[in-house]
Amino acid sequence: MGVLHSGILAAGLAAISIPILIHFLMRRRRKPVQWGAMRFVIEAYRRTRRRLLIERWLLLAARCLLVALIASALARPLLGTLGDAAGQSRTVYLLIDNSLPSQVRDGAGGAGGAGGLGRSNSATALDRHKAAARAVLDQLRDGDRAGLILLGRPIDAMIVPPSANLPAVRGLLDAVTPSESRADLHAALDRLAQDLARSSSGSAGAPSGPAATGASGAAGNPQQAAVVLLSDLLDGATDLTRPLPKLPEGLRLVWVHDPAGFAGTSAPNVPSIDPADASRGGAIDNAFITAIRPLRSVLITGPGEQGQTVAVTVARAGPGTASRATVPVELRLTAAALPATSPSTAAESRFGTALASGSGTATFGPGQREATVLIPLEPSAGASPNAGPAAADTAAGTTTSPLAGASGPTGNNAAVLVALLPGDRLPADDRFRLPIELRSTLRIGLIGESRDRALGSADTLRGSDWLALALRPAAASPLELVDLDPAALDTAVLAGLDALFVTLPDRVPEPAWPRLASFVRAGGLLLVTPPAEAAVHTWTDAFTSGLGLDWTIAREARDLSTLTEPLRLLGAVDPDPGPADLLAPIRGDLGELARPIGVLRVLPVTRAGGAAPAGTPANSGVGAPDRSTGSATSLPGSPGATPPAAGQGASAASLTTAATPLLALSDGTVWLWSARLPRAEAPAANPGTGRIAPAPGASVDGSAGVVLFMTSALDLRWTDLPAKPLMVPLVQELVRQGVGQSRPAQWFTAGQWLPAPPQSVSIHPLDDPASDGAGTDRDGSSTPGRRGPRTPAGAPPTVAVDDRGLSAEPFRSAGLYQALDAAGARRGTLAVNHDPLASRTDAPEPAALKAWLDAASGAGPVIISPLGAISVSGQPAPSPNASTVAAPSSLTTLFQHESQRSPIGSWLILFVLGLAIVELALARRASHAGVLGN
Amino acid sequence: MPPPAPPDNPGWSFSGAGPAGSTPEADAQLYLHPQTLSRLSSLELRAKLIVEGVMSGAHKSPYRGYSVEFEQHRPYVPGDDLRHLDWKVFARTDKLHLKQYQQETNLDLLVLVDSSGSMSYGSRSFQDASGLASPIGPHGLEHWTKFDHATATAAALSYVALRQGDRVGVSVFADDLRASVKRTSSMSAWRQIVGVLSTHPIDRPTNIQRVTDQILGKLTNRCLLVILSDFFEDPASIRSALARIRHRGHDAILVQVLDQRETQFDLRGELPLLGLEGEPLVKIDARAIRDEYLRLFREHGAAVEAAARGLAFDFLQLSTHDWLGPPISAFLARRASRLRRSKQR
Repeated sequence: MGVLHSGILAAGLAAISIPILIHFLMRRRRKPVQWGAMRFVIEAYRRTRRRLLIERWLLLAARCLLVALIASALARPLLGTLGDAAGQSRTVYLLIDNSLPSQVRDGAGGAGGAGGLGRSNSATALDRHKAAARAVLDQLRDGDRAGLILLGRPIDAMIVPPSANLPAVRGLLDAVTPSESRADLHAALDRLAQDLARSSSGSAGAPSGPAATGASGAAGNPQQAAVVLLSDLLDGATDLTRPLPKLPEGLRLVWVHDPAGFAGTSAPNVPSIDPADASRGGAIDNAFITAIRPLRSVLITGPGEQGQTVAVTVARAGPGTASRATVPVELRLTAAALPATSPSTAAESRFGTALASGSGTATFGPGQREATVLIPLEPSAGASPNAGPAAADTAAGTTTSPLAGASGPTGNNAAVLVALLPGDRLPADDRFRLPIELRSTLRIGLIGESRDRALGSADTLRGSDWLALALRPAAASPLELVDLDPAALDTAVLAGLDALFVTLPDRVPEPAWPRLASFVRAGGLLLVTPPAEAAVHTWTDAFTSGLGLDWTIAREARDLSTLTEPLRLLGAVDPDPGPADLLAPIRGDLGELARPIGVLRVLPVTRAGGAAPAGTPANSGVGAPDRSTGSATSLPGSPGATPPAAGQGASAASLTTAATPLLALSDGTVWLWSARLPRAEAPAANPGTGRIAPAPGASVDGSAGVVLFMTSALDLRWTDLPAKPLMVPLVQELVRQGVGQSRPAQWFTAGQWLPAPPQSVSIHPLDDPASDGAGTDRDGSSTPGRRGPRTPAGAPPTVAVDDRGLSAEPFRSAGLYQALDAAGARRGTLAVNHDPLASRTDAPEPAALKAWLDAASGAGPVIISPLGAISVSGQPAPSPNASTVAAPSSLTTLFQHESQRSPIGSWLILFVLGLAIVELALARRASHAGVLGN
Repeated sequence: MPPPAPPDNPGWSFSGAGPAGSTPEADAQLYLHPQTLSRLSSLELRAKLIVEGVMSGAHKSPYRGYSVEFEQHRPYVPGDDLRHLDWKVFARTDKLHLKQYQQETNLDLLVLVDSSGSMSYGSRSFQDASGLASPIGPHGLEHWTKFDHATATAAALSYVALRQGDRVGVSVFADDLRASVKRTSSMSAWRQIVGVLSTHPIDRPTNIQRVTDQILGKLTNRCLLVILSDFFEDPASIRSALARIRHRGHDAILVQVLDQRETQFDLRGELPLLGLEGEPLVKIDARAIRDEYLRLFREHGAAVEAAARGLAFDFLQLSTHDWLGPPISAFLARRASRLRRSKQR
């Protein structure tokens, strides 16, 4: 049982000392009086002493009890289950939605149609939530407590447990900034229940999570606590398919919302608290970008390169989705800015400049919610080719890439692709950032037959010759070819390569294969073909064991020439391999190009522990490991495949090898394999979600680099592929996509801990090229005299990287960030974008929403409190543009209701009255006032 | 000496005189009021004044004589006083006979005054009792005590008896006899009586039984004993003492002198009360015990009175706030009735 006014109770209990003091003060020492008839006095005293003593103590007890009961009655005792001394006051938990939808701006008619809520044209939903929260705080008295939890994922329990320092709560409330993540009401309620359970148990080891949701215990009395939810609860902030955790018994949920919605068209001063009322109308039309997908994640700017094409996915939500619409999309390629700590050089001074741009239009049909537009990048006027190899090529009059000069003199720099939509009511999701690496050249090593001879007829060409021709079909090529001595394959040599082609694997010493495995794990591309001249392929064991592949490669080639109908290459095995497809750029023409190719000999591969039947994708995405550990599976199309030998292909490392068939023969035999090596250690889990930080387009499992194994040697005795048109695009795409996928263009959704690149020690915000450059911040506010990109508002200035390689703090704000190592050198650019799921601005079905909230309330159905026109002072709001927001009228009613729920107060008063009468009678009797007749 | 202002309530009256009358007799009665008596520094003067006040309304001539009348002869037995031998009968009959007389001489009055500690209590201030400005009385006390009231009464009775030729003896006692004046009918003994009475109570309890035994051992003829005391003693002891007095053929008048506050117990609040006879300090809630006190007090008074009445003794209760007429009137009435009985025999 708790009380409403603990202070009064304490004062009253202290007042019990008053009758006790009076009792003892009345027994003060007085001067003795001489008396003659003492024998009668003594006898009378002896006879009455016991009775008088009882009367006296009874009177004292009655007086003390009377004072205590009066104090208790005034303190408004509450019948309940909790007795926490800290909870005698009222407690309000403010759950403020600062997720992405909280940045929705009020409608154009805000000046006159805001329903008396004191909005301005620039006010956002978060502004309304904060103002309503301030109004709630104004309703609290001294001694009441307030907690504050921000719903933007991951939730920020700013003030939990609740604090009685209400001015400080107001100060923190004013400092609340929006995030670009989703709202996580589930986590907030779980956190709330955890705190309540901890406060009720009084121990730090209170259970958390759903187990704690049933705990009965508020910070004090749950009947004097309320959870005030300040959110518009659009689709992006709700998940009606997932039930909310139930609050502790007696803890009521109050949802404060704007009955007028964002439209500003509802009549003012007529708040509606019926969620079924369609006028709630929180839904707005909103277009947003969900993804940017460049053709290649490494943009090569060297001579002979063509312009980049980028696919931008645009989605829309709101009531307008039923109609046809077009959304213009603007695309920019911008050099990433440097952090202030980075040394400024002439070359790096080009960072931040626009390199290329493009535009397109996303067209939506009726009911269509998502559309993809392909936008070619064109060099910007300011992107002058003044540095790097591109400049030399230009001077020589060779073909120059439209993006030549974008990369720095080192030939390896970062840029950011930014997609922009026209500003709407929710501008935060109209921008999307994707870091992309600029490379002027790719360096490719070749271990094969000697090329120090003049090229003769096609019959005399060897595999290395064919590869060289395919890699550099023209003199101006960004692909640089380096012949390597297989005996000199050391780490230093490999570090300078982007890819390594091996046509004579039998010449690679066995100790070099683990080094090649490290090369692949570090992001290198390794293409291995069987040696054309070998009759018995004894090198395969060293190859598979050195790389840790769970493959068994036959030692003798399978001769297909004896077949009456030679097998033909039939193109990609997986019709939809996803964004990590190495052959994506030529996938459309692959079937036509592969059909005329004949294959005469293959070196069959049998994979142990794999479950990737030919013709079906092994993984829908890149790098998803196949963790099945079943018996060896012979791939279809490998008739001669045999189970792997014991200890071969079944090692612990090989179990995690991810293999993907890329091309297959007409009989289903896989002709070209792609594999990612198992990582040395598991990636760190995201503290916020418990999952690996999703990075679309990133290889999250397996090695960064790719191992490609072509089962036929690039020799006309094995296959006529080298002489066919597919050879050049196939090799080119394998190189470009393979290298690109080892350096994926990563972006992260807001609201998670960022995985930092290796050796990073800190993450710093960068100027955001997504801002419009006209002095307008993300929130739309314009700062005079300020132009250019801005750093993310509310972003942490510098965040350390922990031992697990994750940022020490979650990133809730979208923007660009740069990872630096201990020396201050850049280790990578990280893009954080809004959570597309949070951009769904449709309004959920009202009845379902109410049921969803009802299930969470611990005391009856949810109270839906409008931001009504009743001001805090009880006077009507003077004008719609008033600086104050009306308090939720029913919130006060809530607490009044709560206090009236206690019947014990009335009974106490009656009991006090009865006891007072008894005390009067006792006092009258004890005083013997009528003995003398006066 | 100018007559004092008449009191508002004399508190008593006796036959032949009204307290508020305009006659000289009525005015003379004012002399019996304690306010008048307390003005007198001398106990002698107080007594005379009392007597004047009483006699002025009772007798025209207080000097009426009495003779000794012969009653019978009886044979002599050894040990008889030879002074009562009738020598004429011895001469005529040669036998020894003693003459016996009807004792109708003056009354033998023995006044016993209690001077125990409880008699020193008095709630009435001397200033109030006397009407004088000084708060201290001539005897150095602030209050008109029960002992003051008793000694004034004793002195007055003695003076009345002496003036009528009676023999008067006075004793002051507590738990023992403190001082005595042998019975005498000489007016010259008046000064001695006053001297014995001019004392103060002592911090001792009353022991009437012992004192009675001591007194009765000295008495050879019948006396009228007037005992002035508050009788704050066990009623059984009092009854026992009175029974002895009756057994010896003496008459007695018990005059219980009380203070008005003792009879009303109008104290308030919690008080530490200290006894005057060595009782311990007792903290009491006066109003809480008042009923019980008064009940015990009245029961005791009734018991003492019953003991006296049961032995055909007179019992008077005086308050320090009352006039002194009642005891003297009772004394005179008692004396008259005895004379009547003697004549009837």
